Amino acid sequence: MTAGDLALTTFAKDAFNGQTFDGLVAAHERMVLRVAYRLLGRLEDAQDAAQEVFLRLFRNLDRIGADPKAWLYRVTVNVCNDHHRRRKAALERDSRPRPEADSALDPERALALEERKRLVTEGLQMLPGRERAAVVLRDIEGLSTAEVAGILGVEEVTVRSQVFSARLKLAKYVRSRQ
Amino acid sequence: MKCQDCETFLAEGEISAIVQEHLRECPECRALGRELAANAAALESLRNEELPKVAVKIPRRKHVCPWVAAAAAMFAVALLLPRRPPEKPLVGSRVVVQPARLTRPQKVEPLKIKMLTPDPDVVIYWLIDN
Repeated sequence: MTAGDLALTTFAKDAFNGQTFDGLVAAHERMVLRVAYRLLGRLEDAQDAAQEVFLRLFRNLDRIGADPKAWLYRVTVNVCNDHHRRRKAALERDSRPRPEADSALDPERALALEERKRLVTEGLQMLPGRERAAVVLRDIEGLSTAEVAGILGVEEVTVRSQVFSARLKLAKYVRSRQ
Repeated sequence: MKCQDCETFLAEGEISAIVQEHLRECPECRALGRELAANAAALESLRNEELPKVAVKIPRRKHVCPWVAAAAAMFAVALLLPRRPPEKPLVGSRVVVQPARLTRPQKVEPLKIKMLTPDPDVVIYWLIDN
């Protein structure tokens, strides 16, 4: 292979990778941002995390394997875990007072969906990181237990236990706010 | 069935006939079941929530065409080369005729300029006759 051939091959590879990268961003941008938002609870943080995820994608384009979606889920969870750890101390310092439960509210009245979504979103932030990741992937993303286990690198029984615990905690949290 | 067992089944989403029987008799587990179902619907609806697009900013490597770089390098070298001073006009000069001498022409090596490009595989040599 001549130097010219080599240069041409490199150029073609770059061009191919560039196209793949843009395609992957377009296809999974919403998913990455959605998961990051549910894991971090703040849109600004989620956007930063998504940026970091796609930067890692760009750098590891040759190594992501045959299932880019699973790779992106895994990296998004990892990036958000890092982000969450860094932010945890700041969050604790800046914790705003929670609104008190309205005792006058009719306990039988079902919460409007929007209100419940808000409470569930709030409740997600109260969960331990592993449980939050498991329930976001299982219940928001709709992945199977096996898929979640593969992404998080744990056994299926662990995922079931984490999801079970997270759902009960969320139910108790929402009930305490009604 | 105990409430604790029912709670486990409810949280795992396994609503069997035995669980349903317990729910009919136990208002607390029934309330928990409603709560879990409503939360599940809320979580699922978050999947379709509209979020703003991510402005992905990836620092891309700039591709410089090697021939453009080579041309720019040649132009720069040409600007830096010493120029021959203009010849003076032959006004009032004397022409001296000398016998021709036969000398072997000296072999003068051309000036060789090596130019490197951003691509390590492309090197440009520029030969200038003296």
